[in-house]
Amino acid sequence: MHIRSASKIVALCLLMLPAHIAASDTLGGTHVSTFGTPGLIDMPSGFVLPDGAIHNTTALHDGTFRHTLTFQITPRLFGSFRYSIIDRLDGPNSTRYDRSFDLGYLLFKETRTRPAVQIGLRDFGGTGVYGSEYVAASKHFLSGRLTLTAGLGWGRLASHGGFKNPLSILSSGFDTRGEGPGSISEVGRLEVDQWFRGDAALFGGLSYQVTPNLHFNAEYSSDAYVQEGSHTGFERNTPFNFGLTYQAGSGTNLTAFLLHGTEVGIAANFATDPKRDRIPSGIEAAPPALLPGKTAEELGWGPQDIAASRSKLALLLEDQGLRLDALTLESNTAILRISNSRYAAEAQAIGRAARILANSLPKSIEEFHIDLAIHGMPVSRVILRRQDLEELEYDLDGAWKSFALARIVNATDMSGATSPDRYPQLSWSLTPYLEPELFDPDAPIRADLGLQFLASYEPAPGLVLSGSLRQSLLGNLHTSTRPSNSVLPHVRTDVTEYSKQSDVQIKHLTAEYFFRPGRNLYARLTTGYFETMYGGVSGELLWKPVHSSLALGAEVNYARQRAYDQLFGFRDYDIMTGHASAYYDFGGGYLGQLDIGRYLAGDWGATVSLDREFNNGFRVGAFFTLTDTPFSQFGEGSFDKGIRFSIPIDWLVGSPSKEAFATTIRPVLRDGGARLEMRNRLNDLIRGAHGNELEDRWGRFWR
Amino acid sequence: MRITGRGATWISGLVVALTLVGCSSDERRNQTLRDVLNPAPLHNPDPTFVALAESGAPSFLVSVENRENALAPFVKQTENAKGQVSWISADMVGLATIEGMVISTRGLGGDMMAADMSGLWPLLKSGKNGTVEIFITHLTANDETKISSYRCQASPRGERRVDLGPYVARTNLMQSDCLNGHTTFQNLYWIEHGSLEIVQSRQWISHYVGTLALRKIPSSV
Repeated sequence: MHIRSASKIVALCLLMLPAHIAASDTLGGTHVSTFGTPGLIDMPSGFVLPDGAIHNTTALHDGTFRHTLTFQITPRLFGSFRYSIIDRLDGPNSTRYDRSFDLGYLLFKETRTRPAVQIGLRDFGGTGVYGSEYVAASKHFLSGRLTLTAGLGWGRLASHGGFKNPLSILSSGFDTRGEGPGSISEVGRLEVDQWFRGDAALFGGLSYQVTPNLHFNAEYSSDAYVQEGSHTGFERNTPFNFGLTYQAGSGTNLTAFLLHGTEVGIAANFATDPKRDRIPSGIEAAPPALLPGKTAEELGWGPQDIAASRSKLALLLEDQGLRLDALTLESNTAILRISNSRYAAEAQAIGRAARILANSLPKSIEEFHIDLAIHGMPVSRVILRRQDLEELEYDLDGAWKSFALARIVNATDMSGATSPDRYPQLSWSLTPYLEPELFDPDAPIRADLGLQFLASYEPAPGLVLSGSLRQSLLGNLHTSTRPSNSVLPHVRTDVTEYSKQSDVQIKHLTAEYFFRPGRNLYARLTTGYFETMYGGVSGELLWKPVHSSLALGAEVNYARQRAYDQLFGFRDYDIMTGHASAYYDFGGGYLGQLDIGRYLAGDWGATVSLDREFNNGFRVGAFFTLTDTPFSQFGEGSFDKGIRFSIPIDWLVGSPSKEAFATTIRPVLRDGGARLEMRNRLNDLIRGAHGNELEDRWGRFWR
Repeated sequence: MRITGRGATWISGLVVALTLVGCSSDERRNQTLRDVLNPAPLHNPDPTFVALAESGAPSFLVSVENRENALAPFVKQTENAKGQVSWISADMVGLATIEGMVISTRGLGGDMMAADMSGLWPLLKSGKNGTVEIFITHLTANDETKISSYRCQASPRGERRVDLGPYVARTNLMQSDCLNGHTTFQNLYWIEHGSLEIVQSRQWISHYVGTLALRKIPSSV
């Protein structure tokens, strides 16, 4: 599926908005703790969330703020990103802005006789302020009204009531826990020498459903709040915590809690199910109903009157948000090439185009070959029979049957049949924009709001001249006072200078050429100002058969750093950079990507990415990059990593759109492992029109 | 009047504000903004609808019961060899029926993609009690189609007169109570004596849409 990023929006915040569309039956059943993961109050439980669920949790008690985003990556595995602000943790008048990751894995599902058992890492790869590991078991009783939890914790979860690690029977290495990061430059590494080591301690608790919307929670905590007690004035009188959780709406829970007999806090939890949206099938206009087939005479034109059919078809397709690129008619076959600028699901565009062909062409034309083109580049062909359309229009299983009867093949060149009215094509828009920087080391949110002008001109098939201008009207992106301390070339860490020293900004200004150099091959050439910080020349080649789960690509760029004013000038730094990439669709919406090559700072290495994309285009992913830059030179975070979201606009509003909110969140932006932000990389551009994605969204063929 | 009418919520308003507000060479994008912010009234009915209406094509008045002011006429667009009839409204919402029973909707959100009501019609026509199975296909938010089966108990509720404007139709009112493990709904059909035509009905579409109320508009109107 091709999703075009509209702008960098606070996708994380948007994830919190549609909580009301979450269904209580799928999301309301698992309590989350103040750490935003399945649990009681502070302690984890043995459960995990429903598959695909996204939970945003904000918890607050005296001097401590935590916001946690948790995603149930697979039915058994969840991951969390947490941003915490802790006053006075490092001494008087100090504030700790801490970013951390969690992982949890369901070892055993709950059965009638056995509890659910989860094993997890809390705050791995961060500063370790919450660093701990656990194994927890939970079981429902009293028809689900009572839940009991017991667990064993290490690290911070063994700071109260600790005893000799039972894993010591396996190895004496489990006796001693590693020290963790010694300085900020060591933060971000996987502290494997800490995991499940040192003392262990027991914790446990219960959750009781008092009314359908109210739960009472109580727990025995093995967290002694040692560091908070030493510096922040946190008083800990008892190991017991208590809480009341009120289900305020479908997917929304509000909790009030009492920690250790002294600290009162509140938490809010918002759950979202990407598989459910506001308007399940959208509110776009109905597609054309299939009309009874007519002869050429009944339709009023000769069977070879291409010009007439072309102009009629172009108008009908335009009404559906589709552009007619080319058309040829051969005895009983129509070959049509279209560009779809409206529907996120290419199958929906195909379905509408097919019905227009059936209604507009003589019934002697029995087969329709519909090519999907992107930026004038033919990508795939779907072959449909008129008879099948007529048979299946209102068939109970029409979606699946029509997919089974369709043939999806490689698109062929139709340059000789290009519609004379198709080029040149000019499009433009003037819209607001919001550009956020989330969770930087000094502030949770910075953002600019302003106006954006976008324009695109296509003089010929495959050739796209485009640009975007921005004028910030208000915001605080320029207020960061943290100077770069990077010992690498400042390929990203001077980003604040681009906000401080610019007024009107050219965000991109490029000439792109897309073409098919051979069977299963796709190519892109780009020159100009690629992005905020770089311009130059870029070339990319992608190999991807229409039905293949594997794609292989290579990209080579000459990149030069742009001037801070984001106008036409350049700075002195330039570099040859590029990657060889492998993309693999594992099925079930799991997409893997491996990029190996040279990064902007001249470092060599690889980026590993894993995304989960739902059929409707909602996408959540994570990535990390390891290069030959030593951790000590990389600086805080040790290596580049992050999470990313893409939320389709049509998922949010129900109207057809190919646009999406997309953003990437990094714990810290450094110079190692940095890539160009290149628009229109080929795999993302074309795969929506290929076999796997067409199949995933074929339910929209008849929509 | 529009059948799709729904007000802008704060979520859609925010999204629109951030993405769609502004102006563009793409009229569709501008239309999307208008649709989300101000769904009614409709000043420019679809030309296909206008042409069909002016030609005197059969029509129905349709309302979505759980949406305020969601009421619109639908005109007959075409009928295929299987007796499946498609209807459209001025704001391009589509319906398909067979023997007056709704088998498809398009554009209401939570659409019924298809339905197999073949077992029900003989019972409705006969005016007798009976139990049949029907099937409905919905499009999920994750772009998958889901076929559900329902067990329906059809039963007569006696004769009713339905005022269609130019004349009062004598009808038999038939009720069908349908359920499966997750869903229960009740449809009502007013079937005219003699013609055995459904001149008025209440028909469940989906959890999102709820129930449609349909009434025939006699051709003389």
